[in-house]
Amino acid sequence: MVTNKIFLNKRGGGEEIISLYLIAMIFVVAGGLAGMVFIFAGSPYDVREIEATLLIDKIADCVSYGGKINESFILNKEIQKTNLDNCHLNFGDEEEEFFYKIIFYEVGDLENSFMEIRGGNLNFESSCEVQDENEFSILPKCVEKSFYSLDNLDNQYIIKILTAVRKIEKNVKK
Amino acid sequence: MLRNSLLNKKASIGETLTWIPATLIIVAAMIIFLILAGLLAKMKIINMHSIQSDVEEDSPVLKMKTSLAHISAENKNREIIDEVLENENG
Repeated sequence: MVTNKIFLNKRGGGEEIISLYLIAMIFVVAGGLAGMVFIFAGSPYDVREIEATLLIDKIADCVSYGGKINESFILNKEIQKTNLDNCHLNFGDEEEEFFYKIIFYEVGDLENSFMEIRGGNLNFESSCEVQDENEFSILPKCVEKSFYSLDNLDNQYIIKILTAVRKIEKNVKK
Repeated sequence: MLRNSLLNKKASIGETLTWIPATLIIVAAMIIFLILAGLLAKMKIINMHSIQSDVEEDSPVLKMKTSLAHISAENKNREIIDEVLENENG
């Protein structure tokens, strides 16, 4: 109705229409910009790989120091304990969001593990196996690293540490 | 009557013809930018390499531990072990 009046009563109707058009375009552009900011800022940073790597470093510091395996794990080639209770890892109330597996291999026998330690949410182990080929953001992020260490008798070991961090709510947009 | 009104609006028709492609370009640009924003949002993955580009992918902590063990082992099997670790750590 208002638009009709503009058409009929105003000689410069074309300018009025252009003004309405410009206002509409301003809204389109502003809406687009707001949408872009919303899309980009609404997506969280995925830092799970760093968390998993830092967890590996912390576990490695506990298991081996100065190139020697902590004697509370292996002493005189005998397994002392198979948990990380003395490592002071503090997951807060998010322990179920993490998983770790430490495998000790003797250098002469890399097929069979000498000792294994597992902790956290054990269900994540299968998620890591699934992601050997392709990674899926909705599954826990897995990182695996290996290093070399010696025990007190200078027996040589390759220690493989696998960690997984879920925390999908904080790191991945649903 | 219709002919007259059409003749009187020739300028408006010309302006409209100018604005239609302009509108399409603006809307298309907005859609492209929205898609780009979505793609960039998916790339918000931070790893060790993206924090410090000069740091190697491998954890320096583990490399140091391996080196210390090599020193303690007086370079026994060093090449073999390094090769195994390289395969393991990719």
